[in-house]
Amino acid sequence: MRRALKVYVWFVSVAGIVAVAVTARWGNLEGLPHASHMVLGDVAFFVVMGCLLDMMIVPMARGGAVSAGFAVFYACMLYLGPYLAAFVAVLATLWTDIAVRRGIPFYKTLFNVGHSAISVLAAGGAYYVLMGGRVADVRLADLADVAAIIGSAAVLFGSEVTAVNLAVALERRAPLRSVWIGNARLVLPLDAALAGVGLLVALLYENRDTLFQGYGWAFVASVLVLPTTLLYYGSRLYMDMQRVYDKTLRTLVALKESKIHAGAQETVGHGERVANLASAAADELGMSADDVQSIRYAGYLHDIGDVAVPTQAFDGDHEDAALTEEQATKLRRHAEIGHDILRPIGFLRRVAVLVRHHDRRFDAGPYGPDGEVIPFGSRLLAVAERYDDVTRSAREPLSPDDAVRRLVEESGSRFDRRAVEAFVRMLAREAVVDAVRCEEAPDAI
Amino acid sequence: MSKLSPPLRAYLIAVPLLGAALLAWLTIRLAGYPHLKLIEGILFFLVLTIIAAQSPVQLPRGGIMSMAFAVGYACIIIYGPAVAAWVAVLSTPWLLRKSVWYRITFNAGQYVLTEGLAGLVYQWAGGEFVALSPDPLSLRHSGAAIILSGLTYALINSFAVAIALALHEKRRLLGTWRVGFGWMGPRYLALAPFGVLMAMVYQLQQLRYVGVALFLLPLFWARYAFKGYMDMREVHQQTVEALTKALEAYDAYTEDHSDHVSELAEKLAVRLGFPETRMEALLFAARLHDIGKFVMEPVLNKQEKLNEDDWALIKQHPAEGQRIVAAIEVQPGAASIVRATHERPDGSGYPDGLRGGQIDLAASIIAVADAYHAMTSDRAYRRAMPEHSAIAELARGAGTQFESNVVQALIELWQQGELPQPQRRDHAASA
Repeated sequence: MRRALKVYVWFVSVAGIVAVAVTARWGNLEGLPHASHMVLGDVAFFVVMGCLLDMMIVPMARGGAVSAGFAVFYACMLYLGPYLAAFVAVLATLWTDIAVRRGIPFYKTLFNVGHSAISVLAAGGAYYVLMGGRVADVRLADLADVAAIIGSAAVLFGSEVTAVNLAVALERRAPLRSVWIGNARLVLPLDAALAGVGLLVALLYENRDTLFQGYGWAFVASVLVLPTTLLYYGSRLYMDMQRVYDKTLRTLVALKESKIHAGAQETVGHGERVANLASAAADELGMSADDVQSIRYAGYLHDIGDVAVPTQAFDGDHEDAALTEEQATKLRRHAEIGHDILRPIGFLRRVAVLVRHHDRRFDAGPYGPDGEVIPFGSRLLAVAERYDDVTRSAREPLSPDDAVRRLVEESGSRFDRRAVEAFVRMLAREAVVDAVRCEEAPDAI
Repeated sequence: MSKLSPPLRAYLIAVPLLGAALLAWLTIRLAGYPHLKLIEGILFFLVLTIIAAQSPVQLPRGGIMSMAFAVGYACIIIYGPAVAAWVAVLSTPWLLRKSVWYRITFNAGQYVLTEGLAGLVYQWAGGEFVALSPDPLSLRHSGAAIILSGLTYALINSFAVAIALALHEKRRLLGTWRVGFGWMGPRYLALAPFGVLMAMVYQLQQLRYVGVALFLLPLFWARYAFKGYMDMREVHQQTVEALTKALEAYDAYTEDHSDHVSELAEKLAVRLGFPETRMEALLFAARLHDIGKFVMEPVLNKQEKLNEDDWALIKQHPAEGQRIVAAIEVQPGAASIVRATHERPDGSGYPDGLRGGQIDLAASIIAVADAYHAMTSDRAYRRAMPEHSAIAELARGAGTQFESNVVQALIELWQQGELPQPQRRDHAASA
């Protein structure tokens, strides 16, 4: 772990725990409006709900995840005030990390506990300021109340997202701003919905005796649990389906490879390797999640046209950079056939286009035969495929460093400079090639 | 509408008329209620219904899923039958705006009857309408009414649709209803609590409509995720079909084989009363029953006579198929079917040598469909067999090589002229 990351993680952990301890000891519990009639039952209710909902980590299609516990912590902050809400958040986070996500390192648990406590206390502070010095008094009488409710939800959201993404940015050595914006945009709609449920639950809980006569906690629990469970379940199904889809492509492409090339060493796993390399390079360039996914699928499928026109990986040709006339025609046809196979699947329309142009030389110009613009993803696929071909050649495989040298030589002619540059940077980051080589690469271009 | 049969036409006219009569009566009964409040309710639930019914989730074996039932149910509990019926009348033309007019009038009438009668039952059973009563909703008092009106809603709604379907497809009413309700029943059960909770949330005076909206927001996200899931399932199926067909095309002789086998397998399964819940697994297995052969290509294409090792390898192909299908299927079930497609009732099949009762019906169905299609289509080494000879061949193997009742079902299909006819259809297409 990087030093800066280590320092940050320990700082958050210690600060969170100290904050909870300080507020527990000196926090002004007496000032809470509910203190007079507050019973252990209220705290128990929110602890149970918090533990239950915090276990529901709702995954999201384009990456990222949101914990349904957000709704409970927010409701609890509104109804019981920040000190007890922080206490609930600490217990729920501990429970989730220890009982459910068994085996995660202890410092991560401490970090999770720390940042959720700090976030809840910060949101409570915002509420206190905006409500003009009142806490745990949820009401909706005028615009100031609405501002306090929205403002404190925003602080809870912002503080959670910042705490987590700062760690991500430090780990990936990426700028905080872009990581933060990328992730916050994804989780904002879900967290907004959860905050809405939190507000609703706080108000329902406050009025439970008049509204539900005695079995109020059961109704409030249903309002919390039923919609979030459905949300959790639906998202899980969706994510599982995406995983199954990915695996299906891999399996069918592996089947094609073993069927058509009778298991030739250099072609087995070619689709999967090209997919991984090209999508990692796309990631390196910060392309959108959709584009990265299309490129990965196109990587799996780029040689699917082999079912009609088998192209042995033309690996013997790296001595003389040009392909023979016959090989070039064959390559062209197998790319077109691949495109025709995939085109009927609406979802893969963009993938089909990437496959269609994956064999184009960069110096042949930016347009395909029908005048369409050749997508950048196809350029990346070409580089990834070339790299895999020369490093896996049955005759004389090149070392990764030599392969990179060759790519750099051919960049600007056979390959797009930007694609080669991103590809080499990605390899260096993954420590496949020497960092030195990677430093050299842009200069060589 | 003139193309429809007379009984169906009569039904499609009767339902809107009955609906209109009920709506008129319900509206007259409203005389003593606060009008502004009712109009407010109609507007709010109109918007909510339209949002809830937007782009519903398409279920895999037909049918749709949306939150509209929960919203309608909540509307009954909050405002009563008249408002719910008006919301139904006003929302249907918009929701079905791309349909033929008699579908719109029928559905509007059907929803008025469903919601109006469910509301009347609620009232009759002593239920309180949340918006019109000074007291909060009490389950002790209105619980029975809530359950009864929910049942009424589900029954009227499902029967109204089942009658139209049965008249249209000339099927038996109860059978049609059971198939439809098989998937609608659990859906009602799952959505009903959301309707009740919506009514409860509405009572929160500080929020009212905002509260209902806040309650529904996570549900819309859930719907979005479900829709993504269903779309992805569809894409998955399309992809598997396209890629396996591409792989099949590599061997010209098996081209379209799996299309025909799954088509015939579905017909056999329906005739045999194969459970609808496992139909998807059956069809997936039928499409991929031969996939294990792909990896055995070198042996299968051998020119010389096959030796014992080759045979041992070939007998492993269903197991290989099971492995591949297990890796690519959405829900478990198809892989084990694929494994058993070469088993025989007399125990002489492979790879496990299972006997009669141990063999999954789905696998027996695919075995018969596979054999029938293989015999009735041209191969490189022989011409296609006429249908009756293929049937006779299967009948000879009934009980030993093939499951008797599946063969029986095939014979029945043949006698009724319902067998798909791959060869002849090709000629017809070229003619």
